[in-house]
Amino acid sequence: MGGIRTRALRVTATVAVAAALALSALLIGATSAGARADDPPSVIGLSISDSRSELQKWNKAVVIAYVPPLESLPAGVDPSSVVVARSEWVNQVVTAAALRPLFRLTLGSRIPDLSGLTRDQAADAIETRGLKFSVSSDPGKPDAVVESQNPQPQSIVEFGLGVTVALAADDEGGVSTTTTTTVMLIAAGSGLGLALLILLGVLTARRVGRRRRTPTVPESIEVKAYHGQLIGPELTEPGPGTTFAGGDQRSSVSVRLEPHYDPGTFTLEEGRR
Amino acid sequence: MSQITVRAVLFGDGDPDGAISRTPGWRGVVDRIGDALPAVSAGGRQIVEREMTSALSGLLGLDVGDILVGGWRRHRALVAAAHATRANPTATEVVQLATHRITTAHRPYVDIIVNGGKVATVHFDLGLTVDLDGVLGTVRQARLVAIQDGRCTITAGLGCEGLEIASRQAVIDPSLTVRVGKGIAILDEERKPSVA
Repeated sequence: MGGIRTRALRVTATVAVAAALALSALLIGATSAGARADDPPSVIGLSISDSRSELQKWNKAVVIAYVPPLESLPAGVDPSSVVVARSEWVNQVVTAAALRPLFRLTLGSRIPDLSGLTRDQAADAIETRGLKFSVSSDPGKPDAVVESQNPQPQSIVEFGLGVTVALAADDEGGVSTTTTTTVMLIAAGSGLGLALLILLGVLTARRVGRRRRTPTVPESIEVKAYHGQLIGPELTEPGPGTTFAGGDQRSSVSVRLEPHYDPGTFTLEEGRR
Repeated sequence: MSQITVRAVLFGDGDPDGAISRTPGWRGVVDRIGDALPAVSAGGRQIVEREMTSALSGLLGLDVGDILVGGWRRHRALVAAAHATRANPTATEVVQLATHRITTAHRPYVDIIVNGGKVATVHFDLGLTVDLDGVLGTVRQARLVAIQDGRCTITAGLGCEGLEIASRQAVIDPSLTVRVGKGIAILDEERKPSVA
């Protein structure tokens, strides 16, 4: 019963990690899409032979320096398990001067999935990859197996890095505190990533909407008219000898009529009796 | 007798708002106003243009007859006739006015207020020149009681902030332009609000 619950938790944790990786890929996708066609290929995670092949496909004159040198790999390391952990184009700036491109490839291993392995099996898997094995918790029972590990499986790391595991007995009937905490942290991280993505989307949408919006329309427009200054009317009369275009130069002429009332003359004659 | 306004002289009897907005000069004025209103939306600018046209049309409602009368009150022959007839109620003086010119200049302006704040003031220039020739005026009891004959040529020009919007010349009959009524007081001391 406990085994089923543990397996379910592992599946949950894997899904959560995959979701987080997918979100990260979405965030940085635009940057990756901008890579130029003549850029060297990424060889991180490739084997020694594959990385050499890829780089030579890009440029036949490429010079590759391995760190550590191939003849000085850590003791007990199977060369077939070695992968490129870091790649550096050393003379990129002066390549234009027709020098041969020089790459420094730092070697390492891909972390195996240790879950379900016993302490000895896990230690062997780690040490044959040139890594250091350590245990964070051990119930002290012979049937204890790896419950969790750090770094996570499939991580690519350089030689010498420490890998820590937590062991738990199969009959403990529950999940160790470390495992629970790890799962919770991963879930919380994924949730936080999702929330950030949503927030980013909302902010971008608001910004775009703000750009498209027309300037604020004034709600109240009033036009007030004033008669302003009045000059005139001015009267201009032509002086002697001056005239307007098309006009004459006569002076004004006035004719006044003044009727006077005449009551008339009356004569009164009286007859004699 | 109908009133003749400066608006009618400039734009005829049609829709003055449309006539103003169709003039090439008005386009330039509107563009300048738009430059002065960067925060106003396109719709808001259309409102400003419409209101400006309407306001300007209202400012051009000056009566040409009033302008003529204002000039004639300074005409020496008419003033002399007014003085001569004031004391004699029976006297009538007919004055043939020599060629003369009456000019006026108006400086109306419009404030544009957006959201309660004045954002621009647009100044207009209206110039009017009236040339009169052969007008007969009859004066009785210091009042101009009749206008006869004559020729009146009006030249009107409208500009805004250095741009010419419209300019036009028209010939009218002064006897049909001035509403004499019961007589127009010529002397300042004879003027009464109820007359004319």
